[in-house]
Amino acid sequence: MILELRSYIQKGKGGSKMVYTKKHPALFIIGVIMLAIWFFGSTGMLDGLYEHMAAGKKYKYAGEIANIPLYSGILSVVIGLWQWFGTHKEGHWDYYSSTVAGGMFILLIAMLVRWFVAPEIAAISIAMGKVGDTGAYIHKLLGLNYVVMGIVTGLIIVNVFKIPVWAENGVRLSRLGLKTGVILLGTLYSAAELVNLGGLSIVMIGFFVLGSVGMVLWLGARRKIPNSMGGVLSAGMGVCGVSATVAAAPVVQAKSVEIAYTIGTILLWGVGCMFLFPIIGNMLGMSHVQFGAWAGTGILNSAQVAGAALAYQPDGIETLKVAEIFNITRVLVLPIIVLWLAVWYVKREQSAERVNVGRVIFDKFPMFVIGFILMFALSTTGIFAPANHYKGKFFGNTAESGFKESNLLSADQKDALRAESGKVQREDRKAALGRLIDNGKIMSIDDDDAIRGLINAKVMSKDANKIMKGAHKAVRHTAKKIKAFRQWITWLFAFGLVGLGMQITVGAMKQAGGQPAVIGGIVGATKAILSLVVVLMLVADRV
Amino acid sequence: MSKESEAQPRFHRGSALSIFGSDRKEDLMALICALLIAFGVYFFV
Repeated sequence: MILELRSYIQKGKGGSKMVYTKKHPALFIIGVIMLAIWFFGSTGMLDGLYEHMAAGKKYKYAGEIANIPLYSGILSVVIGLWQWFGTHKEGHWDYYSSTVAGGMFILLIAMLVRWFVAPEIAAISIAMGKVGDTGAYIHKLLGLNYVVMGIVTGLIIVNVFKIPVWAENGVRLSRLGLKTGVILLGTLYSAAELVNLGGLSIVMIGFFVLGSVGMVLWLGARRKIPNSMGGVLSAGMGVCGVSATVAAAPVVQAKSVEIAYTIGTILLWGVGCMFLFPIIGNMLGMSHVQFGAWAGTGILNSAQVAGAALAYQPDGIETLKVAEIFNITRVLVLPIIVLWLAVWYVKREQSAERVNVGRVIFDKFPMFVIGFILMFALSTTGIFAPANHYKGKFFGNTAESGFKESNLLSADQKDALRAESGKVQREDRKAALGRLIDNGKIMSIDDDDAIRGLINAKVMSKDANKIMKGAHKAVRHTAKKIKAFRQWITWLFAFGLVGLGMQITVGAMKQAGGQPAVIGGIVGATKAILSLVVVLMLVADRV
Repeated sequence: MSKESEAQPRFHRGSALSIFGSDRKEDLMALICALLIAFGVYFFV
């Protein structure tokens, strides 16, 4: 088992000595299946199935089926034919192009699960009715959505059937997908959101990261595990899982077997949390912000944080955004932890060889975090959406910014609002309402906030609220580019998480054993429970 | 895992989790992919 996990940390020497591309029809067949899905979807042959799966609502994925399988199908068929009939020689081109088959295999599973399997399970669950007094359907309670099912499908494939040989190389693309998704997430935050979430995350992460590292070191000393083992486990349990483990290993001179134990513990704990957190979140009725804050603090590894956040909110990205801010804040603490461990280790081990801490931080710091910050900086210049956008929506009450003259309030609507304006007490809301009546549209972003506050306060009649809601919608526009980024991010994470499932082997999880698993379990459970309590007490429903 | 399988690793390049030789290379490739997607969205959406 040690040998199996060693491959997690052993890097190749370069210089391929084998041909990776398999002369196999699999990729071509995958392409044909994708094109068939697109064809049946586009010609209306799946309409009956859509209606059945939507269970009385509108089927959400028809738009995706009309595009994604067409492009990926053509790509798979063309490359598949070349892989099947072409001649292949070892080298860079062979190595990288051979990953396409595995990548498309993951993508096809993600498509089938997201578009057909998860909606079918939901339809069956709805047909079974709500569960007892909970008022919720069983698929909601258990979090049975495309994210969870995608990961479970990956787990089953790798542990029961084994990954096909032609797909093995490409399955290793999943982490690249997750990292690309995290970097692109940077485009979705506005400065206001980041300021609100950033302050909260710094306080929580600061407390829990330092607390977890300290607790592992203390427990490690009491249970008499080697300092190198305690050091590397504390970084893994405290900061961000595998990356932190690898970064901390040189400063505490951890042995391969200790790194393997730590990664095994993190995987075991992380996978458990990924499935358990959304169920607990649903039972407690946590808001997206609360759950994101909890997952980003309590779950150890970046990939599993994303998995839990998307499992909690599969058709939206708000939870993922909150969770990733917490996760990235945690990664930013990594240099401090490496420095702390270096000093701690040298003090405790007199014979310890001094290492260049600055060099270790520079070499091991996860660069994709810098990419996230770069993308956020690019986004704040307003090139993807107006810089003042909030959650992808921006204010605009002129024709140039997307306002339609047909949305101006009619004389009757103005009279209806004027008749009830006496009910409004707050000066700012009264003034905003006055300007709305005078101009027939909301005049500024502050007025929009005041009108929304007035709607929520419910001081006016239902009809008046309906008119004000219409006025609010008329000046709030969705940024098309932000919408496109959301789509990309959703698919990159879906791809990454199905692939992640295919990399979680029972053998790798069994690696956690003895003292590391006991200490990891105590610290992980303490962190998860305490962070849940803090989130429920301190984190507001909305940010 | 047997000794034979260790002696003949499945991949001569990268690691069990990644096709790239180091995390730094994978991060840079992720950044390039993200920038390509961002430019695509900027110009075509």
